[in-house]
Amino acid sequence: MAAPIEKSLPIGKLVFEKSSFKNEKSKHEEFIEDHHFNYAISCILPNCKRIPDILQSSCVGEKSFLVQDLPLIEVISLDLIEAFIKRGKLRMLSHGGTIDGDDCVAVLPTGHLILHLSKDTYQQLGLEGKPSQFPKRKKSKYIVDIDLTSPSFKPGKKGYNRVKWCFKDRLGLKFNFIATWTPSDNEVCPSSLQKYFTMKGCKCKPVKIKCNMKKYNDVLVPDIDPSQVDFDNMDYSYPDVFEWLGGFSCGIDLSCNPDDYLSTYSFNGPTRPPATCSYVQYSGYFSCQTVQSIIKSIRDSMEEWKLPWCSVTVQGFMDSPLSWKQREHGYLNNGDNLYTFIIFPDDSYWLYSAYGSYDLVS
Amino acid sequence: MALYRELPTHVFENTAAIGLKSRSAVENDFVSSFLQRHLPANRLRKGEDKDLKYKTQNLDKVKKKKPEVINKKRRKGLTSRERKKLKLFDIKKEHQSYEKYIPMHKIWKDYIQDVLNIKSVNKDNIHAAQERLLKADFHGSCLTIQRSKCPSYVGVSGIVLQETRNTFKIITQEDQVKCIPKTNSVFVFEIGGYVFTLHGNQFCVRSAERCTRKFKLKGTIEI
Repeated sequence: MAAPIEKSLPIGKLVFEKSSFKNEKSKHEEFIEDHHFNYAISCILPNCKRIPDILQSSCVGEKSFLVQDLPLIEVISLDLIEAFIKRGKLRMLSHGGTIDGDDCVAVLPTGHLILHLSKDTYQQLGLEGKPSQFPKRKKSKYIVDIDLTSPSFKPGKKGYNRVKWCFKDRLGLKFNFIATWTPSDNEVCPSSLQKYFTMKGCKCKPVKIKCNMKKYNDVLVPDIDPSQVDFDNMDYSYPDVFEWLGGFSCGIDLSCNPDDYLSTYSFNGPTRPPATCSYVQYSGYFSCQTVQSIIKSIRDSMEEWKLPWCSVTVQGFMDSPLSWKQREHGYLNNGDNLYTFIIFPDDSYWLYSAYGSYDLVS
Repeated sequence: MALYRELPTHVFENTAAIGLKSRSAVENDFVSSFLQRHLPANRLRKGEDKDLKYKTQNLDKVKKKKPEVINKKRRKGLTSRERKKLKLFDIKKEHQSYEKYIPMHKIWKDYIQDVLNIKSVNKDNIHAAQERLLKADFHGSCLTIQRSKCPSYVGVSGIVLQETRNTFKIITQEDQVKCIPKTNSVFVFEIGGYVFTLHGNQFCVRSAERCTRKFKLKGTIEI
């Protein structure tokens, strides 16, 4: 008898939203905050010959760092909880392991410690959890959720002691973490977390930020009309724009040359006259605050740079256990969790959020 | 003959005021309403309460159950159900203390060292020791649960008080008696510098049966 074939899942999901930054009910800030682990930021600037310095400075000045071999027992230490988790937004993610094979750990700004454990580790660790949603039938991964900021989570209490014992005496789990900390008090320096870990005897080093800049001449950039509401009567729709952005980011020739051997792709809708177009991608680990500030600075200087529109794409880590908020994330064909803002000069925006097949969409 | 006795006069006079139905109306649907109330649901579904002509219900010849005669000659002791009822194996609260069982653990230690011949165990004859361990008795051993499908069992450790086919009854150092199923757990104990691992899934045999039983190799140790 043949093995049962698992019901095929969709390759991905794309959610499209349209709003304006000026709209009071616009949720763009929460949306950015909820996407905790940002791996790369890429911008497409049409009609722009030089990458503005402001992007460069805010990305390169990112204060994320890598902590090597941090024992999990340190994460639940009271000093860290009181001094950092409760007084700011701490985001930590285990680095180097794959989500479908290894154990992954994340600390969220809400004070939750999420352990995404393989079956072997889960059975030996001794902490109660839930089987992961993905893959659905086969219970091979388990999720343990510990609320670090809960009032009952302190030394002397039964739950705390159990967690401590499990981390310390059972397996002695250690992970490489990438971390950022955004203090709620502006006078405290975000790098004090790094100092704290160094004091505890862990090796820390800043996350290397890679920069990839490209400039293309004579590009036919789509002419997007932000006021358009109804896509039915138009030549192009929002997925076409997203496709174009993707193609452009990969450096594909999009000049719609019908005789081209490699690609005859062209944008369906109207295009602007050929112009120079810049593309920049920074990869490393970025805090949500950096993303916020980049979007804000682009919004502010849209007029000055004379851009028809500008796109900012933020990619999450493939192997992060969470995508948005506390929604589970997995890796089947691709660990996609990314969102794209297309910003227009009149402060309206289009927002695409793309999910992989092992992703919960609310 | 009337089905019901006459109502008392003071009730009868006020029937309209109380809102009682007239007698004939009640009498007419007495049988059907009785059946509605008492017939099992599946017979009601077949419509037996309506079609009464061919149905018979014996009221007198009901089979009586024979009282079970326990063959006293064959069975000397109590049945396990009786044992359970008498709470023979339940340990009373005042006897549930870890310290009381430490001597038992010491005796077991001597016993298992004898059985395994622990001093002469080396790499070559460890297999024979494992065979002997299978047939050994575990009452009094100090077991720790190393891994389990249910994470809250993990880390429980204590002296075995009773072993049944599917469970170990353990007293922990906090004087708690816990009943832990053998399935889906892996137990560990240490003796003479060796750490032995018992895979509970393959250990679901009564201790008395185990010493005569032939064990087969099982492929997987996954739980």
